[in-house]
Amino acid sequence: MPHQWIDLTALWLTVRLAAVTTLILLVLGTIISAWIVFTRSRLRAVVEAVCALPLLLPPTVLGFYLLVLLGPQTAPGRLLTHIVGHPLAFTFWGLVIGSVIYSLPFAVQPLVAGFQSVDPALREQAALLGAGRIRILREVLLPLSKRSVLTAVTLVFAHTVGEFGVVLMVGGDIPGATRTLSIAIYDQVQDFSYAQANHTSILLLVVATIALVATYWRAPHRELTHV
Amino acid sequence: MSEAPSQSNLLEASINHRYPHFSVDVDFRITSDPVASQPKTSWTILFGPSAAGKSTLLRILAGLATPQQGRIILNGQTLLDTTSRIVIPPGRRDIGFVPQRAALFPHRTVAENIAFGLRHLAPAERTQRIDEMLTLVDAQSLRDRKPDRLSGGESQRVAIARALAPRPRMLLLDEPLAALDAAAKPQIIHCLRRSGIPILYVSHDLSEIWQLPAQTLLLEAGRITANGPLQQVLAPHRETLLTQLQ
Repeated sequence: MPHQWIDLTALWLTVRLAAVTTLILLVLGTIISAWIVFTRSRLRAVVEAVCALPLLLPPTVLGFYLLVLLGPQTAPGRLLTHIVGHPLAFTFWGLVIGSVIYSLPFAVQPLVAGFQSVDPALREQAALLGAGRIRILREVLLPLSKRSVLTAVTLVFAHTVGEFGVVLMVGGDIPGATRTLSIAIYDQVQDFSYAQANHTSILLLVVATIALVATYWRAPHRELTHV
Repeated sequence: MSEAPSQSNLLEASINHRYPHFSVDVDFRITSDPVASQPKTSWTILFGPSAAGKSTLLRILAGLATPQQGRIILNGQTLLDTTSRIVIPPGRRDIGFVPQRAALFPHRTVAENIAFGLRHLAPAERTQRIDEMLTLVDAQSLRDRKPDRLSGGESQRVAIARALAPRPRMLLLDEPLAALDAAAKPQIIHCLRRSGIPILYVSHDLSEIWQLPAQTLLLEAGRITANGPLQQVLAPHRETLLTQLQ
């Protein structure tokens, strides 16, 4: 079979995985970040630490425990199997769960930073004017944290596109089902298909570079105008 | 507070709050007609030197901070009673609060800022109320401007309009003129007097409040040391206060 310039099936799977993960984390990350910013609970430190854990934990450790958790030996695994009708390990949705957990800090940290950078006096004024937390989030924090939201979206998407360890542990290497671009590169190198590995790598390099440039991009400084 | 609230008491507060190096321990009441000879001026001045606890007290009254012990009653309604574990949140106290910095929502126009607390009104009523507030603070021409295009005085007037729009029962002002130049101050005082709403006005600037007909609470080191007509309360302290403020 002639080699494709790039593994299109893996590319489509990777894009789907990154898009679904980004959408889920946009909602989940916003909820967790808002809770972190609003709460006075002592659990806040624990939640922040747990959300940051994937940054320090080897992907294989996370992948191993996810594999165990999604399997039929655990209650959550049995529950998920009962709901979905089949085990989630080595499936696309298993990959999604792994990616959501692995990329969680890339959503939560920029969003928390963005929400915390909004002047607390604005939150207080909104509360004084009768707004609840959801309205404050929707009408004050999110509109004033657009750059942080964009950063979170960009980082989560790019990080998911490039992840390897968790995907390999949770999803294995099933063409069309769980083989993403980063795993395709691994396979191509194992097959001595260096040209194809190079093409795939260049694509991932470009995606990562664009994501970082978008993240660090700053609008030109405007002169302050006093009327 | 040992007496039952009466109709003439606009606000009754008994608050005790301790920080590691500072405490607020006050017990006072504000009547709905503080200066009987001038019934349209329901102003109360909370006066004291810097770090006396004025802003802390105001934040507690507004519901932005909760004291370790306290009871606050506004127009006979209990807003806070730590003994009974009653804590009415800020948005349900019907109290307006204008901080030293206007804290306008920067992504909203002036009209949208004023509309923030009017979500319960129908669109036509909301528009009418916004117009009333813009007229009250002489800011009709600023209606569609964003806060970054307003001067300090204009911002503060819009902040007052925003706080007054939901028709609060009382307005708390935390040194609203402190960051403004002298030319902007009289217009804001004029707007506040026109509003007719009972006002609790925090200041540490004697010159700013000396001419205001108002009841005065003198707060020193977290305690109210005098309560009565402004010039009567502050007269014995004038020299001392002026020295402190120099």
